[in-house]
Amino acid sequence: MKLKNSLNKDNKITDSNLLPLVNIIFLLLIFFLLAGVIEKKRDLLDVNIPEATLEQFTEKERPELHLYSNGTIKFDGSTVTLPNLLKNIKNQYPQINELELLVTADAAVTSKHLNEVLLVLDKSKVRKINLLTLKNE
Amino acid sequence: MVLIICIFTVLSSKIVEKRGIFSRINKSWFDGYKIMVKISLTPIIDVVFILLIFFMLATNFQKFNQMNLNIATESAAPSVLDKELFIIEFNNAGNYKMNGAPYKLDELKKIITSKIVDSPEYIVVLEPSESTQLQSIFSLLETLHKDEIKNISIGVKKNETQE
Repeated sequence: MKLKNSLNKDNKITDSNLLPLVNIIFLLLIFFLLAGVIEKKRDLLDVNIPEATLEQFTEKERPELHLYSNGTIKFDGSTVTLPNLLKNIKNQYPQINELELLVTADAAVTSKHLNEVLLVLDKSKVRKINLLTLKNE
Repeated sequence: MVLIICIFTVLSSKIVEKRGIFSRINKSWFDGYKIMVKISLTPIIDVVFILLIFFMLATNFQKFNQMNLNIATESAAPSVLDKELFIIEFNNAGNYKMNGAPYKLDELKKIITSKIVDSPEYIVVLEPSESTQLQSIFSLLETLHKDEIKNISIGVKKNETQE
């Protein structure tokens, strides 16, 4: 099969040969415009969060707790031990009764580990906990 | 909108450049212009590429949800006596018990759905076994949520030493 010559009579590359490229780029651009949302990407700190379609996620300022499957706990980005978690929360947020906490927990975290953390949070009078999930498409 | 403005700007700048519109301002726009204007595609491609790269980097496809959780400790039992209480025990293997009796998941959902029609005041407490992973808990939560079963809490077991 003979390929179409991309040069014109004067052996110059013409713009008309770029049209398929422009078409594809436009299609890609329209796809990204329609399919995606422009917002700041949430840093999950390497936590593989569980997938579940539950309630609408609301973005707002609140302290974050990260739970890992190996038992590591991070409060507002810094690693803490379970006994020190209560102290950390109390020190950083004295208005503890009004505290709302976003918990980003790994899908492989066991119920036992979650139970231990919830017991500590219960002592700190945290009543509102938002567990983060990845929406199923 | 940004894209349309960019394309229009590039195209119009080329047309103005080719036609010499500013040097022939006394002539009307359409008078005597039969020349085929050749528009170079290169600037358009440049702009579109930049827009494409911007959207590729800035677009976020991850969509998050959240579970608003109320901590229900065993000591809080007296406050729920006036409500219908469904305690669901389960494990990773998919074995379910409701109020002590074993059920399959579908049966369990049907029972809860039929009972909450009569008594809308109810609480569902999930009590996963110790080794149950969070994904299993959320899968059950999602299933119940789809069946319009709300008021779900995760039961917290207090250690005897902590009492």
